[in-house]
Amino acid sequence: MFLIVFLLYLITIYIPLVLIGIFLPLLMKKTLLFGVVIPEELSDREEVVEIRKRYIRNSSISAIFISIVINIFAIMFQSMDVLLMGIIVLIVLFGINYVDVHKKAKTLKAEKKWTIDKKQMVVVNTSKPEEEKNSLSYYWGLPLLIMLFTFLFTFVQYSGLSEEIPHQFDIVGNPVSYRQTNFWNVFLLPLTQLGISITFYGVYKILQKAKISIQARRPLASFIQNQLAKKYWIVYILITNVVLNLYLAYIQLTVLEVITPTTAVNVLIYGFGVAIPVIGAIYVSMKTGQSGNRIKVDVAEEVDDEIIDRDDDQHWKWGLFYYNPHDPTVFIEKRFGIGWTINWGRPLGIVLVLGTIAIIMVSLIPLFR
Amino acid sequence: MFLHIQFDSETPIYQQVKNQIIRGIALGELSLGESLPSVRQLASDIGINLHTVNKVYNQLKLEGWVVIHRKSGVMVNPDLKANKSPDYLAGLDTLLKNITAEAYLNGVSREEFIDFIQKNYDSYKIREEK
Repeated sequence: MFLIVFLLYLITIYIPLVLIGIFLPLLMKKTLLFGVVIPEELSDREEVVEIRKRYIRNSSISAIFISIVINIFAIMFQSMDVLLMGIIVLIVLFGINYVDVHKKAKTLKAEKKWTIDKKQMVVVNTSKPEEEKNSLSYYWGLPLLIMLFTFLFTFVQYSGLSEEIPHQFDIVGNPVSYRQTNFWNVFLLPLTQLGISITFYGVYKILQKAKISIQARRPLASFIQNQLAKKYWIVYILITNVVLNLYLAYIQLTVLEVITPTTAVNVLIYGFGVAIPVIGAIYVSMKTGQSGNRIKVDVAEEVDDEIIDRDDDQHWKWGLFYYNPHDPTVFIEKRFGIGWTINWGRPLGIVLVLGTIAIIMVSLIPLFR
Repeated sequence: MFLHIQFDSETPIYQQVKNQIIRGIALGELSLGESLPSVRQLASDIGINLHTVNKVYNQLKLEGWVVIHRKSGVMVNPDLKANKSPDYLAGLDTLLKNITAEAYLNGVSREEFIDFIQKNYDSYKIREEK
């Protein structure tokens, strides 16, 4: 029994995480080396390639070693908690490996004085990108409908419930613990759906507003790539929202004891609920790369070798945290990794991050209790 | 239209933005009545203080290049009027005094200088369209 759960986690969460951690540098823009601004044409230099290799080598060796230890412990103690804790250990491990090469890159850049005689340029577009008031916004009704259905269905069933309802299940769908039937226990999952839907819709709104990072060397191409990448991610979070709401609706049906699924169905649905978001994220990351740099666009632009992007390394702590109180930007693209982060110099940004963390925590509590 | 702002330039950032917007209008890259980003948006995109962008827009407004509506925001002045006032001409003369003196001392001939001016004038099309 434990082995099935173990393998599920291993395949759907653990292995993808390790692979992303190791190969993430290959998806980055050529103008950024582990969060440090470098001239694009130096991206293939020996000493630069050496730093990338160092990261991939160190992180794969340490990650595989730690993973083996964690997995042996997990099997020995038959404990999923060990595996979940292991994921946190892995994230910290990748962080340490990253900071190591980030510092190496910084030193190398300072030694070689790469940015000294270049023009540091910021390019902005004064024309508004067509506001995405396209048909996509209607699709956000879909996760909403699933949520409403769950709420209504639960409401209708409420009076017919026995004194206790199942609360936790094992992987084959047998209840392992029961809770008293009351409003909070019964509506826990629909409320979780609500929390998830609000968060995802918020992310969608933020993505529309987030700053578009234009590369000074090729403004038009990078602008188009950026727009396309945003579109991909918006579709991704919409689909993920639908999948998660469907998954929770399914669990709610088992809580209400309307359906009693077989092991196979249960495992399959778990796989669906976890695999689609995880594989989707990997797929979109591979497709877009950082800021959409992997998307092919057909634009001919003159390239001026004297120009580099603005060297604002000093505002980026470890290339991870952006702190610039003079910049009114709240949401900005990450320097390392794929996605967006906030300007820690803006109070609004901090409030939003703390708020999001709070929402996620609250929605996760029931799943781990 | 793309604005190119050079951060380590001797020209102040507000001046660069202002110059490029005026030139963008003359070149027709910014059409008359086209809306420009809000102060907050532009400051955020460039990554600079709101004050800097405010200064640019206020100067552009005073000189009549843009109009600022409380509702619809900033846009290129839809009915741009030629403003060949004596004051303006006097300013232009002062500006050219410095530029021509420098060019002359650097060995730029009269023909070469006029050539430069002509090339620039040739690329401004907005008046002919009307």
